[in-house]
Amino acid sequence: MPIGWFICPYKERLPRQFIPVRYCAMDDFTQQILTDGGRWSETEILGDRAIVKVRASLATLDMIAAAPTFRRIPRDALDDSLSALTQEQRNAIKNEILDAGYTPIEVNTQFPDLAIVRFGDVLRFMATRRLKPRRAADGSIAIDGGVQACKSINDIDKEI
Amino acid sequence: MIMPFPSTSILETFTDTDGVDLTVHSSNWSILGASLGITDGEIQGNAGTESTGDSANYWNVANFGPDCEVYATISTKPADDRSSYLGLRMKDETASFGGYAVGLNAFAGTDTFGIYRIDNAVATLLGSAVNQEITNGDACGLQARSGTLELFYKATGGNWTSLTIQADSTYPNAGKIAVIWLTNTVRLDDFGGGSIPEMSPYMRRIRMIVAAIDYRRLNSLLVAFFRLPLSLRVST
Repeated sequence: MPIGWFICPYKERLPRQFIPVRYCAMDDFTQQILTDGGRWSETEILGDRAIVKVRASLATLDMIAAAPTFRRIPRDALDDSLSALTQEQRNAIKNEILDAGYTPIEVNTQFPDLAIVRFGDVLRFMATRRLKPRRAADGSIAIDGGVQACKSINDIDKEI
Repeated sequence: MIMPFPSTSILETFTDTDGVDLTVHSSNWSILGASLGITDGEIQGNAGTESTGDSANYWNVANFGPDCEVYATISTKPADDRSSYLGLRMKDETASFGGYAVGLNAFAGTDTFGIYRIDNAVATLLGSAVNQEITNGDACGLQARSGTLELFYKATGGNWTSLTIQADSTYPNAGKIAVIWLTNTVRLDDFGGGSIPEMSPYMRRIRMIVAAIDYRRLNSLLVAFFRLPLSLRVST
């Protein structure tokens, strides 16, 4: 069964309760993935989003990729080189890293040239830190707490 | 299931006069968010507090863990679109509490259970929620062993079964067990939990293997395997 790597946001489960609840938006596709006989696993990263590996049918992977705010990364194996991607695709990955909250200096220092980088290296960099959430005074969710470690990309890769 | 669940005793049956605050009922309870009351010998959120809904208490007798568990019977499930939690490894017994919890979520459709990481009073679902209709009298629990969390469920009159396992290492140390945010609909009973024996390296390895098994796929393979000889026998 094919696999796909995605970056997707966290969503808040509504109606809001005293303890606000957030979940990885991939959970909206859980039933479809399970129907295919597939599964998924995620690691939370910076920017209130997650890197998710999904094993599902091609139709389901395409449906997920078409969902707003979901981005499928056009590589499957962690050892794949990004050299096969177009410059536009590499720019999109770089913008995704910046959107997550990493600084241009961090990104440029780590990846002076994305064309010579392996796919897994990019994911591992994106999963180097996240921020702890908190319940704000108005009951909403703020993602501005202390720096936390992320679940490792290798563990996600092994699970799925 | 490799290890029995639960392996700890019931700590609290909430036998007292209806409406007594939990902290008045027993000095073993402290306020996590706001105090709970006692109704029909079971926990109940303070009457009329659903709009604020911040009732939560922790068992203050000891820190448990890091390997530990918590469980309770769901005498009356939450109202639709409401959740309740049983927490373990809970830290900072204030409004900014954190740790892990099993969440029971009632919906107009199918109810769900999930394993949550709680950070500063925000619950984050780990992985996916598990569809499981809740019937009054069912029970649920959470067991933490090293970096893995296992959610258990028991139907009324049935046996404990594992629903899902998730991995997280944000809260690796011992902490309190707790009941968190109970609406004035939900009632829990027979609250239990505590530290559990540390797993041997051998058992830990087996548990990791079991956790990695894709049970749905294994089941479909077994069904396919055992149906084949049956169909051959019929055709001959």
